[in-house]
Amino acid sequence: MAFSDNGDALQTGSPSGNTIVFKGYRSGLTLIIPETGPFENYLQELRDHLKNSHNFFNGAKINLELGNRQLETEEKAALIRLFQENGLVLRSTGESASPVKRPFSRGKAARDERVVQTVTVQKTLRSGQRIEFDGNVLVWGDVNPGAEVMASGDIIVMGKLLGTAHAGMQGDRNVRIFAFQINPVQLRIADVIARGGEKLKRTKDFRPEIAKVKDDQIIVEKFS
Amino acid sequence: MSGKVIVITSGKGGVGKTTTCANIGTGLAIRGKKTVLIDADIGLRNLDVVMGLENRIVFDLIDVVEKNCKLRQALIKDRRFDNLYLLPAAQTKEKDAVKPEQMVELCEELKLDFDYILIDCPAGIEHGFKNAVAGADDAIIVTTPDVSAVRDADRIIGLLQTYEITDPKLVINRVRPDMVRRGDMMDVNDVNDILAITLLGVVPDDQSIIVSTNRGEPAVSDPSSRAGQAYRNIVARIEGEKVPFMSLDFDLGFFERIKRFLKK
Repeated sequence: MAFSDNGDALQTGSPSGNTIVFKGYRSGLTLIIPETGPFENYLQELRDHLKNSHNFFNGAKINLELGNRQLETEEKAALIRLFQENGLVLRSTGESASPVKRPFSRGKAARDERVVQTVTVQKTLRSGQRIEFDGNVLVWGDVNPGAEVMASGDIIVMGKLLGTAHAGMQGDRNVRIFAFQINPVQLRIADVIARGGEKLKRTKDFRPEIAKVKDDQIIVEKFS
Repeated sequence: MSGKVIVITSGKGGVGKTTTCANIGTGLAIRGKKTVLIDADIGLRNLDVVMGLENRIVFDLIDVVEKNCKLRQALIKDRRFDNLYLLPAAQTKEKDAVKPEQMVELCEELKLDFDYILIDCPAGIEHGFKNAVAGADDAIIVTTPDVSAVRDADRIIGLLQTYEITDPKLVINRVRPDMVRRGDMMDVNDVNDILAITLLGVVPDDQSIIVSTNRGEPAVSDPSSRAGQAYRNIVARIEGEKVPFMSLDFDLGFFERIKRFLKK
């Protein structure tokens, strides 16, 4: 494990080594995971490192550099979970583009056939906690006031959504936000913003609700 | 003997951490449990003042961790309650004069001698917080029924998870039944809706607390104080007893309920 602080934004880290590396760039921290070798070993190395660093990385936004390594969905989920447990935010993944993984497109037809990765959050997100993911986010718990969920795809909350949620972060207006109570601080879908307590009805009922964009506005309706 | 280390924390300042710490500690001592209170609020100590022990401080927490004195030299024995001790904070040092590892070591040492070690945590989530929670096995979160205090408490609960304290207990302080009744204050259910952790007790707003705090006599030892009764119940629950929550006159009455129903 090495930690290097070099302010040179031009130089990107190389994933050709055999140990994980944190690099500091002007744009933020980058975690470099070597291309070769079993992913579990690196995950364990990272877990140990985060444990020993006592919250040093809490709140840090991390870019991921993987070289030619392709992460399995479970591997990515495990990594995200580890990040989240330690208060890290995954900002972007440097996964090499492959023909299978297309960027999100807007058209409805494209939407139906795309394969979107989903990250699962196993607990309530509390004030100050934040999850950001390129894909869908599923939360098994509440999203409390002061917590933030950001996803390029859909957001599904199996509880109350009381904090801030931003679905379709990269501009997709066809995404949806689902929760059993939508009573948020703020709701965003793509570039449309709705503030809590204004256009969004305040309810204390516990029933399935869904938010989507209609006529340039976010509407919340009963899910059926 | 292996004691239990409980940190009393809140995130927000002024919600009654120190008062809660003093009262729970005194209550445990009255029940015959050997208890030590640690003031982790270095530079802004006041647990000693609330306990009425200020004038007996010779050595403090920093002296102990820097090994300028023996641990038992720094412990102040409360003369009113047999089993109660205080380890005061240093007033003239900065919060970073202690390291989390030193706090862990201190807690381990105290565990050998005491049933309960209560740590009064400073407000905030910075260095002082990290010191205070480092050695803790369990946590009591103090909040008042207002939005900002509850928000901060929620943040703290999230942070405690990273310290492997996954089941913190909640004390809701300064509840005013009259305001709750009028719908002007969050009630216990509103707070619990957001925080969703085990409720340890609800302490009513009570003027006698201010008087007892200024006198350095914890309200828990005053049989006539309502807040004192709430703290006695909390102490019993910490000891594993099932005590029903005392009525704060939350029952609205038929007419008031209709009024609130219509207001929705």
